[in-house]
Amino acid sequence: MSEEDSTIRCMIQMKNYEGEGAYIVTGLVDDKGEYIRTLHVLGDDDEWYYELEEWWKFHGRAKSSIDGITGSTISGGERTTFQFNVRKDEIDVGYGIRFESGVENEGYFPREAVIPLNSELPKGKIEGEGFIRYVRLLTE
Amino acid sequence: MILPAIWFRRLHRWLAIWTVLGLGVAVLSGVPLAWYASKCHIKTMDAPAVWGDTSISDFIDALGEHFTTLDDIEINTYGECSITGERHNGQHGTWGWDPEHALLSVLPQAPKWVQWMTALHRSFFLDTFGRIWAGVTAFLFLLLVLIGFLLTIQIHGRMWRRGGDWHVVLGMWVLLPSVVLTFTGATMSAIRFDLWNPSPPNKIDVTQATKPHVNPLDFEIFESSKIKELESLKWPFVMEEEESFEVRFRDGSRQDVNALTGQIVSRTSPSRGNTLQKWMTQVHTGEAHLALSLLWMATSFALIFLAGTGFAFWKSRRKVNKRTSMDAARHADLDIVVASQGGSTWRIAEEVASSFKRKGTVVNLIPFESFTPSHVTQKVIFMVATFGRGEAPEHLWQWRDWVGGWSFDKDSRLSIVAFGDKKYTEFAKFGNDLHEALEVVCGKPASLSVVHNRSELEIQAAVDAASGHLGLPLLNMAVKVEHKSESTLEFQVTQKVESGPMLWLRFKTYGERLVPPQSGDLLTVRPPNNSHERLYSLSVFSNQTVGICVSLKLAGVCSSWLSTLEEGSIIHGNILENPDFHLPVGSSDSTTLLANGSGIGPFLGMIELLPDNACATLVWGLQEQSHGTFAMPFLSQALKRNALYLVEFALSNDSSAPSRRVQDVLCNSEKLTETMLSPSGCVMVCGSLGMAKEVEATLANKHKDAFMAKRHDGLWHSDCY
Repeated sequence: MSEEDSTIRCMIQMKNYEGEGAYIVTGLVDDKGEYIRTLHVLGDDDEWYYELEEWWKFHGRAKSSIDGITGSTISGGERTTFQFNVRKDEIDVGYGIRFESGVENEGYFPREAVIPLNSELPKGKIEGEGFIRYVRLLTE
Repeated sequence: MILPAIWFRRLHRWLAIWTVLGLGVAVLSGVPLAWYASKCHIKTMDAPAVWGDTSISDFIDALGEHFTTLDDIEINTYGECSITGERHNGQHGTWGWDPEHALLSVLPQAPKWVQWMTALHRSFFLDTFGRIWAGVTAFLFLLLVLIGFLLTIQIHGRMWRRGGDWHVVLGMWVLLPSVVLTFTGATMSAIRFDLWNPSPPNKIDVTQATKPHVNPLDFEIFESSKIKELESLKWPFVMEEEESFEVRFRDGSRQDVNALTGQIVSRTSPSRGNTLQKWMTQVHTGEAHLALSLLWMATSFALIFLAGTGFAFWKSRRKVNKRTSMDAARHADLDIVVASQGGSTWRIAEEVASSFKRKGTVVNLIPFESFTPSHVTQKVIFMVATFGRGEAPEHLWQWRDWVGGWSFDKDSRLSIVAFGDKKYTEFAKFGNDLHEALEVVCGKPASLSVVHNRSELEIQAAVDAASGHLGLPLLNMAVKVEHKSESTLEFQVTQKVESGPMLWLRFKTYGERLVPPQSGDLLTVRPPNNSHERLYSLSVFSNQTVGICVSLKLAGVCSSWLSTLEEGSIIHGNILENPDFHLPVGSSDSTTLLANGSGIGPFLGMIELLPDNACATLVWGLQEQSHGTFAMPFLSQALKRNALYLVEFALSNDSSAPSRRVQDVLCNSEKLTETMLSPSGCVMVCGSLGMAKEVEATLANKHKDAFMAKRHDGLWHSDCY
């Protein structure tokens, strides 16, 4: 982390679904919603990454390192907190933070939530479309 | 259990094929998974003791040395702790915790191969299809195990322990673990596919009072709860009024705690269904206890072994079935109709047929299922094996229907030679049933002879009886019967005492035997130039010698030969197990031994085995007291150490005492009868069949209920011929 970076704290609260743990990717996307960078990955078994199809098109091609930004999958009803960094010049330029999720045999949600990356992040809970109940973000 | 055994066997076989194909991979992958669970248990065995009574507050306080902020603490089923938060150096992440040294450690994570193996185990990497396949196959496997159990009971009853068949013995040992493992596995599939939806957890919201803000370290719940009770603790996203800590305990309960005041916001307790689901999952994965994970590992190995032995069993049976499908010639002097289960009876029938052929008799050897009465061949010998506890061989389960449809010529003559094992109460029952059925169909008497344990002597006698009944020449057979379990042993005479009509021989044994013999087992010997074996009850002594008591018969081939042996002579023989006539383990003060003549044979070894002060009783019937001289050193020694309390001789032809038989002693001694029939008293009878019958009749007459109860409780052991 450099002085040009801004740390964002993120919490994901899952819905009470039955089934395996969810794989969730948090990524920085441009104004068209296309991935620019992977910010965090929940799910440390890379054999299942291909199931997050849209992110895999980006990550599988680029194969950029995601070491140090991965964690375990998260199951129904659970919550998890993690942090990621964005550069200051990526804020307020139309970029967003996108959440993409998938659960084995249960479903796949390429755009669970897309939150504009502005100086003022939303203070409340941002609801997800699929397995995520809500996401909360906080600039450190 | 109305269905015949063959139906259970067929179903068992098909289910086995299905589950080996469908679940083989799951069983194989279950071994390393169980091993990994065991390893984790062993690694964290001391965790509860190390955590001790540390409270959550104390632990959070200790973590303050390493972390600026905390996000969550999790402790898995094995007791491994992981902590997520931001370190003092600004690094955010998850670390492990070593409770013994109170230090951060490597994050406890299942290795990649465990994740891979788990996916293979539960769905064979086939997603939903794989899971459905595994679930359905697990259910079928449950059926396989239960049908295997029913099949075993159907065939062997409670005798299975003595079967010596690894497939059956091991199958029975792993029956319960397999059922639990399969049931919990099938249940996990049911949960996965929402086939079992228990009621949701019970959540109670608690009304909040206005309270001052408190440091989380001082929250009552954190001070009073122990780390060893904790499953996870999650911090609020931000420390604000509406936020809360989420505390989950190992018992499945959850409490949400106000982030600022420490008041309980809500309490959630799991429903019974939730608890049961969690417990079943932990049982199936072996996370519940080290003993379980070890048991699953052993069970998985056993299941692999069972698949192998089951296949070998099926293969060997196919071989036998092929042999019996030969076509028989139609015109013959004699039909030998064979009902064989495993092939032994068929081999004996072949020997008998060969012997008849040597005498010029034309013989048809016909499998039972292929036989129909012929008007040309009017002499028929049925050689039939007994299956299970007295049934017909399983492929002949419709035999009554077949026999009912047979029509014999009016001049037909029938004989039955039935093979069986006296260990079973329904000895040679199929032979008896067939005899009855054939007499009805044929309308005239048929002869019946029974053979115990393929005894060569009895085979000869039975074939002679059949030949006599059918008017055929008598045979001098040389039936070679396979004795699977024993190899020939050498016995060197170390003591020989002739005592009236009895001969006491003591031997030193040479040769290896897998199971150590016990007094009551049988010594089989064959006199020179004689094909028939004789059986003698054995005494086994602590100095590794064995002894037999031989009744000397006038012109008896074997007893005459044995009487010619000298000290140092060597003979060959085998030892057959006779588990029904072993001294019960832990025999106590009310053991009663009844013998007449050479029936004392096995008792001398048993008496030596009795502990001091066992206070057992021996009643021994002899013609003259002097005939028992050879046994006196054993009996005196036993009386001296009170292993024997009473030795009563029933002398039938001694000038110094009135003539008595064993049953007379019982009639005249209430105390002895009382001891014998006491609820825990064990009675062992050895000698002549006549003596045994009279003793039983005497007791049944006077004390019927007590006598029947003793037999029913398995406390009456008899080995009389």
